[in-house]
Amino acid sequence: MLELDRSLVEEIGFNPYYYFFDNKKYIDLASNNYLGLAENNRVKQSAINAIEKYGTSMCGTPIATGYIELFEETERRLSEFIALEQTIIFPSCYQANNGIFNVLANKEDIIIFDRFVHSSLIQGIKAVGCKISPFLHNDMNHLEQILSRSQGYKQVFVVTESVFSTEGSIAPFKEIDLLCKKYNAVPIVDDSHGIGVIGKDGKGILQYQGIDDFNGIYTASLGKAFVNSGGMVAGTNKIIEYLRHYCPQLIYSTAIAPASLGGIIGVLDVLATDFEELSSRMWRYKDMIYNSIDNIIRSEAPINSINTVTARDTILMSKKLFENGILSTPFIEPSVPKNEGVVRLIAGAGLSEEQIKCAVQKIKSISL
Amino acid sequence: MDQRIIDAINICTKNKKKKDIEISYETDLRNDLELDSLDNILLINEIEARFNINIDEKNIEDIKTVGDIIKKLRGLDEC
Repeated sequence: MLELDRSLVEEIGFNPYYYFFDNKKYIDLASNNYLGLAENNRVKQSAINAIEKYGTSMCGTPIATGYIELFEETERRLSEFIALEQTIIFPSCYQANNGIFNVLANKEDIIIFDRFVHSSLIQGIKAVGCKISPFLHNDMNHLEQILSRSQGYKQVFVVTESVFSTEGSIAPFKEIDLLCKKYNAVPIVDDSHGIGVIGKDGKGILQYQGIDDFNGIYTASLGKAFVNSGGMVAGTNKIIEYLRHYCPQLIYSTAIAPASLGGIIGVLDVLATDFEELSSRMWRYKDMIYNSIDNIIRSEAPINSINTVTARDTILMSKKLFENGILSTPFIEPSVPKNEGVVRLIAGAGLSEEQIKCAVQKIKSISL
Repeated sequence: MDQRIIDAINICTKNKKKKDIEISYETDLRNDLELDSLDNILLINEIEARFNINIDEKNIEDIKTVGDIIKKLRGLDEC
């Protein structure tokens, strides 16, 4: 724990990290269970079927015993879902984001990235040892300035997230993709908070922004709206085949468990039939909270972040929510800039309208 | 102070809450400008672009103030 966190935890008397909770007693506005599919019977049954057929683990890496028919089927189904040629599945998206840069980039390259991308991407980018260049969050003028002066490098990569999860801002990824085409750069997008959430069928950022000729690299967590574990990397056959054989984070890790693969297939099946209804409920809940609570940052994603301004008030707000039976996610430095803080609320479609109304009343009654 | 340094700092502080900070040699990058390690990389890149130089990132780890940056640039015979 950072020193700042430790001192705040002691002062405020609340530790928002590694806590237990009873989900019958608390309203969960903290998890990334956007559509409520973690409790969906079809998803659970699909995971159970996979365990019954393959056991709890294949006890091997994908290049050994870990690659089963279900693994291949899940890759194929995910590729079809987001309309890219090929997919590989890592045990986690953190590992995927950590691993791909070292395989694809060299010291003669430059990696340009949004100033607010996730730690997993930053760690992976830094590991290459090449020139790195942050651009101002979602600032296309600044990105183009950097791209225009980066033409001497062997390869140029531009990295962003689709939905920035602390505040719910969405990248202008279509513009980023066009800039990449203009400057011959490779776009890389982490769609962890977009897949299963945005786009008319929940197919993520590419569908949401109408990008149908994407030639870059797409990564996403399968542990958020997709309610399982693992991280996917998708793109052209050429790039994904290369990663499949050369990315150590994939080939030297025990393969993702059959239950998760089965669960992911279950999610894809549910999305095909129920996405519209679930999505509609999720957005209704977002609006119910946004329209009732002060100081929520306006966002395009189904995320409500209360601007708590200081680190102290951020932890204090999270404590008071917890005392009122509401789970939330506080973000302080380094997840947000120094001397800033937000408390994030994600109201998943698995909650009832009564729970949302109750949460709203309780949040409104809290004063810091 | 060289306007190019001020312009580079202004890029880095564009989205920060603290505004209108007077830049001096003693201005502390972290405490006064609220720059973190990624902002420092951004700042050095913006300075490189404006002075048309390359600064080894290993040489920026000890930079704490605007004056430290200017000393580094003097060491490169550019400022």
